[in-house]
Amino acid sequence: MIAVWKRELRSYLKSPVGYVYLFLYLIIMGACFSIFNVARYNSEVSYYFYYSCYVLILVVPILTMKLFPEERRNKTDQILITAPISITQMVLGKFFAAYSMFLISLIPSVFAVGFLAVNGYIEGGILAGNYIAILLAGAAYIAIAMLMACITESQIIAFMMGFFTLLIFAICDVISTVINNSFVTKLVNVISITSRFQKLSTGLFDFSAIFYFLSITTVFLFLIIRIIDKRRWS
Amino acid sequence: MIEVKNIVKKYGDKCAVNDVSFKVETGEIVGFLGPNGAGKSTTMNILTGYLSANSGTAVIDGVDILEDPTAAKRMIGFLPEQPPLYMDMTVREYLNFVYDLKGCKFPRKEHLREICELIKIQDVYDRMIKNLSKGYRQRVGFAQALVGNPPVLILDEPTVGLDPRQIIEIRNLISRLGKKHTVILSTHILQEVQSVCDRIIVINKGRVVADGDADTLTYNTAGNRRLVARIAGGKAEIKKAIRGMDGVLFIDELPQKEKGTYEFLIEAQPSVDIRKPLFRMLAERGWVLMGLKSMDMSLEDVFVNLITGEGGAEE
Repeated sequence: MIAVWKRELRSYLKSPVGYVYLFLYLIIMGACFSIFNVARYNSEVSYYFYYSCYVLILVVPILTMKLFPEERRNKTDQILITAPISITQMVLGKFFAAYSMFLISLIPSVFAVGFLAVNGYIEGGILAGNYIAILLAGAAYIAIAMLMACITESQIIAFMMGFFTLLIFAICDVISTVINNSFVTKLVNVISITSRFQKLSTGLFDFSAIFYFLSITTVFLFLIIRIIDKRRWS
Repeated sequence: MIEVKNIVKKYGDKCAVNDVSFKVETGEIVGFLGPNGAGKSTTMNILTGYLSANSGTAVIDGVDILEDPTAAKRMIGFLPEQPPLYMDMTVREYLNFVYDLKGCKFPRKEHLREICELIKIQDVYDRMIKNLSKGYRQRVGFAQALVGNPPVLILDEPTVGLDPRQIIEIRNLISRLGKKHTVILSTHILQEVQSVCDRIIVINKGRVVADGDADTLTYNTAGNRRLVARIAGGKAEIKKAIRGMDGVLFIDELPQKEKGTYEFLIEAQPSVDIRKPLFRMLAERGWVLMGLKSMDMSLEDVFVNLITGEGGAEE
């Protein structure tokens, strides 16, 4: 698992993909921070993380799109599957590589938070809640986008499908307000990422929201493992 | 060392491998021979755990690949048809990655250095794999299979796409590796099995159609006996006379090589040795037998026989 993680992380840092991700995420976040926090004299730290939750929809698929399609095209998946490691270890190695990149991209948020703390007031509980929310949401996003990358051989399609799937998870709240149907509302309540994100970011230690993010991550990673294993049988 | 038992693999309705069983002893170099699409790669992919069989199993050194796949995989070095190389890595990074991936316990530097010396890739050790030539890429693929010193090597068409000199080098390498490892290699090139392998398994349409060493195969499947005779005398009469002999099935003229003599290709029934009667007949008629050569069936003929005997190589 560590070998796969190391290789993927190295590949991120040596290829343009990792930097495109970092560049896009940081530049959009920087812009959001300037417009919504700095320019409006708003020291609400939740804003920063709340926008982050949407920006990630666009940039996380960049991170995950090459994880499986490239291996299948170059047939390098053969060395991973025939190596004495399980498919679970291989998938987790890839997941943690993408997650490590995500963690790297969170480092600059410290400056934004620092800026707000100096020029305004930040409540410790809210700050902790926001960080917990973003860390959990990042994991769920990566797992969802990884599944989309796993079922296709094309990086472009992997990106598009990852993007749209994440979009559905994130904006389904809006959809439910437009379509006034009890079934749709129920469904949205089940899958909505943003509503749980907001709960956590108020500083409320909502166990059900934490459980939701963890289970989304686990279920999607499990599906990826099953799909790869299934492919050996067909 | 390796025992394959009744492996069946279906892709939809099509049976890629149909009830394949064979055994490979420790230290053997076994050639897997068959036309394209015969099921060679599929069988190898099943052995290495890349694919799963619909039924049947394989035992590698006492370890069942279904019961303990990880332990079985640890014993196998696999070089797939297309070497599984990461283009964005240097050879050094790549081999270190494979070393970690296989969880090797040897002293890392020495182990990798030994492999590089054996495969002769020291001079490209720090180059990016994407900048290497096809021959070097194939060798890096070999090196990858050797990392961890697995007792079994499975090589899927190891010489495809290489130039003749590289092919000879790779064959020599396989022969040398065969002294320490059990090797299964697949190919559709006949000289390859002839020059490298101790044993040949011919596979066609997902079935094993022959299994044995090169001599046994040529002996068993050889149908008719063929002779080339060089005779001085009148062409047409000789031809006619020979055709009239008992047991002769077929006679054909070959291009003239010596003035005043003619060469004929004679095919006789397997049970009949026509050399003696031929000599006597020619002597009686006053023709001179200048040379007689028996044309044993080449492995190539055997192969074609086996494959067409099964009703065509590919549909």
